[in-house]
Amino acid sequence: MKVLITGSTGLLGRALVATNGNDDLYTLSRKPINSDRHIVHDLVLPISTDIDFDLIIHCAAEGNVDIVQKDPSIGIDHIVKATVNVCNLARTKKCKLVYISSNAVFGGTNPDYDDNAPTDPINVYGCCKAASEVFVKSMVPTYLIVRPMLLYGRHDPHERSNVVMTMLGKLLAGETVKAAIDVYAQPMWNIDCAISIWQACKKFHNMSINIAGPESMTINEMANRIRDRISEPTTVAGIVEPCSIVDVAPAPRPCNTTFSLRLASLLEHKPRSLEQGISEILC
Amino acid sequence: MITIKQLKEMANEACNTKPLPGPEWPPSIYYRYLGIVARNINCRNFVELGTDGGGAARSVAMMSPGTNVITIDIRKASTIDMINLPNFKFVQGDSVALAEAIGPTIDQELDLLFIDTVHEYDHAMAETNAWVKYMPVGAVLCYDDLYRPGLERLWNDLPFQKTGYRDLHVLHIGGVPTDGGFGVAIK
Repeated sequence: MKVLITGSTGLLGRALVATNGNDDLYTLSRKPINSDRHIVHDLVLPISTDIDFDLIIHCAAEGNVDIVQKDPSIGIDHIVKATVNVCNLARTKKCKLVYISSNAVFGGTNPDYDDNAPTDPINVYGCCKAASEVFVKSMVPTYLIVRPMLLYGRHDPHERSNVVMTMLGKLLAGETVKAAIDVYAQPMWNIDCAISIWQACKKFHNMSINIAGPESMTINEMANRIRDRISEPTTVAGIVEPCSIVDVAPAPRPCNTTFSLRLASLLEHKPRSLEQGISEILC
Repeated sequence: MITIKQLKEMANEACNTKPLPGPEWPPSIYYRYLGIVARNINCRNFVELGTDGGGAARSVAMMSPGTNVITIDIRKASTIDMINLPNFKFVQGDSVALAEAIGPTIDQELDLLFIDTVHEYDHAMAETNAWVKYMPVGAVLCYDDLYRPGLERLWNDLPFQKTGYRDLHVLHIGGVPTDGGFGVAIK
């Protein structure tokens, strides 16, 4: 099966490539890499290719919530417009499209969120993701919308870090980490997310599926768990300082988008706990 | 003939009814509501426009075994093939165009219609007009997501007895009020 992964140098894109050994994989990003199966392209522009893909997994997007909040045109271009261009490619190739959305499409006031729960974003990033979901549903005959939550894992050093790795780095360096007590998340290791997506691709279509780690916790609790994990046996970790999300994030964040994980529970793969995920990263 | 008061009372019954088993489908209360309405009005034929994952149509088929369930969508979700009930039928196609093909086979025996497709005024009105002629007087029409801008206008324009819009919005997933809005009308 010929598969195209957009955003292949990002946290999830890399994991999708790493966890697929069976398919004929092609990758796409704005950055060149040393591969004859890599397409260098900015998806703000329409894309055409002679390769007849059977499946496209669209991960590419601007993932910085605060940057998109400050300049919504970045979200319009690099989330919505890019998705529309990928939808057109999927339509032309008559192939299935897996769109990687986000828990940010939910407002955070009505957990636990079902896979079919209506979207009600509260920031520009979430609006762009929710709008992209609508384009996917209305443009592509066979699709799957996947909404991961708070991914973490080893990232390309030239790419954006993730909150867990940032906390881990600071705590290992003995620095103080400010962590919000009023936002909940279900952190998920990027490799677990990628495995779940490959399984969901085979099992579901024309639906939305929310996927996340097994534990719901505040960001502050998450930081403390990371600290506990690296404090043993002799390492002296930094300090976790409780704060409100408004103290550390310019854009509004949904306070609790905990998922019901109804459809995710039907997948064979069961994601690791945060402690297990951190252990995988550190080993 | 069913009354608006009775239809509102059934919403309370739906809120107190346990979700049907099966993690493949969400525990939306309005799924159960449609099943309760179908059972109480001795519904002969139920047509749903906008199948999505099939949860609503499956609930009606399970809760009202005497009802012939026909559900229509332009796309087929992967969960549809998991519904193996003798009174359940999925038809892939356009929700307006299919009225001419299916309507005459259930003429004046279409007792319950549920519209949940693109949630735009013109399309929802076209769907209503295409199917309502096959419904007898006293038949029930249900609409989801009435808070969407186009459907608010549609709701106001419908020439039927109506309830819902705000007081039935608790019929959504898990009983948590959402901004969806749910409306029920009697022809």
